[in-house]
Amino acid sequence: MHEMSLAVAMMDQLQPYFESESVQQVVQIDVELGALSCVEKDAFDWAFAAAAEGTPAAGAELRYAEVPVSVQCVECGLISQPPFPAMVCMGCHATDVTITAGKDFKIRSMEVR
Amino acid sequence: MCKDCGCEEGNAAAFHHHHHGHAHTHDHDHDHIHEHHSHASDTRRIEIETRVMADNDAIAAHNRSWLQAHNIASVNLISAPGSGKTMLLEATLDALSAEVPLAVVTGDQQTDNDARRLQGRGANVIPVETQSSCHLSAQHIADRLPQLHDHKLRLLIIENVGNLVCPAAFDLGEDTKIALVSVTEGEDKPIKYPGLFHDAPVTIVTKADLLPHLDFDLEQLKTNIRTVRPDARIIVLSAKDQDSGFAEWVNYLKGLTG
Repeated sequence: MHEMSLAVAMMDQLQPYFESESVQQVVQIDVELGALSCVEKDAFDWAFAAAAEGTPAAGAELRYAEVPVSVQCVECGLISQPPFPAMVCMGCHATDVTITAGKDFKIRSMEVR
Repeated sequence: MCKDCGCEEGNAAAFHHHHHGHAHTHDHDHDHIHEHHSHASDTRRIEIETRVMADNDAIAAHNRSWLQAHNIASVNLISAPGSGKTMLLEATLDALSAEVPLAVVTGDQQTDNDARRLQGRGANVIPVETQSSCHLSAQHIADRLPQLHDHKLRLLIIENVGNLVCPAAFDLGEDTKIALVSVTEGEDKPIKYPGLFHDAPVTIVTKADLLPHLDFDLEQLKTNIRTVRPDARIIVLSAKDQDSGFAEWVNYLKGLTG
């Protein structure tokens, strides 16, 4: 279950802010979960709670924005959202598309005191 | 004093509101982060905007540069457990190692069984016991680059931990991700696990020698692969019979070292 690796990586990314911003407690963290990110929300909740124990982020509420896959068509330039998991332009139905959103798992921001 | 959390805030106001960790519902687009206002003056929002995979990806980029600088082509084989990766590699090393200097890094949670099966076939075989981790990470590969420092080496084959989900999310620095799916699995594997099959320019369909004994719909599998990866190269083969598909696979690998 790789959600634990990701939770540890997330804590590593938050740690410098605890010091530089003198954070005593993290209340809430906004994350963005792409449909192709291979991350499972419930598993990540559990993993994060474990990874955050004993840190200012212990008890923080994770709030997920789920981001569907967006593709840009190489043929017609349209950005569209095909029905997951198909990879096709919703305008001209070409299959030569690049992914513009939905692959990543991101930390957007956190609310702290 | 706030009756909910006992703080001293808001004494001067008739109405005040704190975050106590409860969920708010707001109208917003499914792909839009709502800017949540801090109601209490003692909380503040810090923008971060980082990708959680950023650290792994930075190490992967380093691996990629290193491999390219040393003229070593690389592939990352990913599949469910039991799909035939190791058997395919046994036959591949036998067919290829005399002609193409190659190395294999093979990952499993426990044991070096796969590495043992691959040893003695002319390739440098390096096992990785990932223990609690269900996937190889870029760091696993970075740690072993010194063992690949051989001016003759032309091809690195990474045999990932048997798993269709997690390995796909971790860039190791390879040139090409290759998915394997066997004819004893379901035809809908590619649409169940689009993360992997989308990222793999090549999918190998293994155990083709079993097709006469199965009701497996090979054309449906191919359709499903092409749904998530329209330009996929699909190679159907039998490592056991070393058929024409196997020859195509060996030629494909030779072509990478071109």
